[in-house]
Amino acid sequence: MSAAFKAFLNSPVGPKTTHFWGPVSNWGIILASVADTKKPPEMISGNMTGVLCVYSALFVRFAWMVRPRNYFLMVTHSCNECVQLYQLSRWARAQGFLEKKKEPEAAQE
Amino acid sequence: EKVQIEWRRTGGACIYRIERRIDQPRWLTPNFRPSGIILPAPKPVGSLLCSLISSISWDIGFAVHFWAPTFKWCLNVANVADFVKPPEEISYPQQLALGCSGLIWARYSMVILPKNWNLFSVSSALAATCTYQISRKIRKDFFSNEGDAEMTQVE
Repeated sequence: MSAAFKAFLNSPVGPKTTHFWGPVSNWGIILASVADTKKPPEMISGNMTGVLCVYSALFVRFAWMVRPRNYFLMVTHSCNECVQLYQLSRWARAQGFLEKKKEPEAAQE
Repeated sequence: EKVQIEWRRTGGACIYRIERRIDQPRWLTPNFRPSGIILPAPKPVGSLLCSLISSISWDIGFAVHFWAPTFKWCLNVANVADFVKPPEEISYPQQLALGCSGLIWARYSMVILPKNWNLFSVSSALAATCTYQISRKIRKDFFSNEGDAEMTQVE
């Protein structure tokens, strides 16, 4: 067990290199967004959340198409996509974009 | 027998793989022989513009290797558009996480080969805008309430 762990520590994509901390820093964005789900939706920035949704979708495809395939980055951005879409829905609901139109129903009655 | 492999370009259309005994000097020609692998020689690049475009384009246009890091500029634009927002709406964890990721990816882009100046520039810009947003919020949280407290005490 410790031999495998030491091999991981010393590998060229291990924690001693910058190749590891690049995708790990993207997990920081996900954890920050998860912490922001507890805050009131007025604090969400629609600009940033929308751009992050498109950004994560592009990077899922990037991580799939680049050789060698970067599965870690792909999983990172898939999770980020989910969290950012949730934040975007909360923001849209707070802004009033997702309300159903009740006026036609009242007119029909 | 130790041999040294050499790829010899003779100026023609092919590159020859040549084996040479390691203890023979290069100028002694009888001791190398082509070992059978012949490749077509790569064409020299016509112009700097052609090499630039070919490095970022693919058969359908621009490669995904170009668009995904380039879209990161939109992240900077969104952050700059948020400069006018009141500092109460800025979230510390998001700006901190984005700024750290910008710094780490800036270092990453200088460590890999070839150096990715596109990624370096966009990551540095992202770190700068996130730092500015955090400074705005810190200024509001820690340095402007003292003035308000003084005003209430005077009244």
